Amino acid sequence: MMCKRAAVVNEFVIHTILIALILAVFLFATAERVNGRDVRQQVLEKQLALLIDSAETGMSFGVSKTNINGIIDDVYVRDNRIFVKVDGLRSIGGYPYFSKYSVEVEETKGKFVVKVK
Amino acid sequence: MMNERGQMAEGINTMYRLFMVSVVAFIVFGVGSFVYSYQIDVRDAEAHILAREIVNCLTDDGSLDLSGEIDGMIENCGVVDIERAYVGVEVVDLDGKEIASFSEGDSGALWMKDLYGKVVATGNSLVGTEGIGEYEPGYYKADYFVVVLSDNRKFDGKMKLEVLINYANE
Repeated sequence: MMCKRAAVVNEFVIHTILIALILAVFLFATAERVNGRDVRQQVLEKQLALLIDSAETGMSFGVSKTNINGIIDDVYVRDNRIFVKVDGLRSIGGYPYFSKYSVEVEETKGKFVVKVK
Repeated sequence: MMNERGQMAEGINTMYRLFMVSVVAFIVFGVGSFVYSYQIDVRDAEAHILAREIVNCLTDDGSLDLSGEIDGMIENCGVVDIERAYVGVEVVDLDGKEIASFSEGDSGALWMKDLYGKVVATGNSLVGTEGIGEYEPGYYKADYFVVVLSDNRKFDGKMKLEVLINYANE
């Protein structure tokens, strides 16, 4: 039989370990949510929209398919919106840009090239 | 001092309580993860870029020509998606007297900006409040010194530009 003090210490240690485990699971879940595909897709679409908005005619910029934000499967423009497909996640609404120039996307080996004409 | 059966019963009771706490926490976090959407706000940057585009368009050769029709001057710049934006221009001379004033786009954005300004002024800042704060428009305001052409006169003046960018449906 354990003495009462030992039982209390034992219970406290088990509680602490379990609470730490639950907190760790929640922290990892939150980190996963923040670094999720939808967030990385949002980052890419907004970066590209800002680049298009500030670009002058004749400029072009490349987006590597093996990107820091994941594997880029597709980049396309439609109705003055830019869409990026990241890690298989298809973009639903894209992000609008307001450039007065015509924008085209060309796929080359290893990257997508956004051209502002 | 407890006997062994008592300790075991208390251990089971503790595990049960922890299990219930975990279930409740998982439900709260699970529902939260569905409702929560992470928004990256770039509207201030968009407002800044749009302001630059409008200034370059209106004062292409370094002077602001007000001798023609001023309605539609901003629209003629050819910027698309102006429905999401509001651009207001006020032209004054160096004494501050108003020469011309024109705007384009959704003037409701001004009302939204005023609303958020008032809420912040009362001490209940909405900045960072998810679900409400995301509707605060992106904002950029700047004054530019220009040469104004108006009524066959050429004089130094100031162009006050205000740009607001609304929430974009994604």
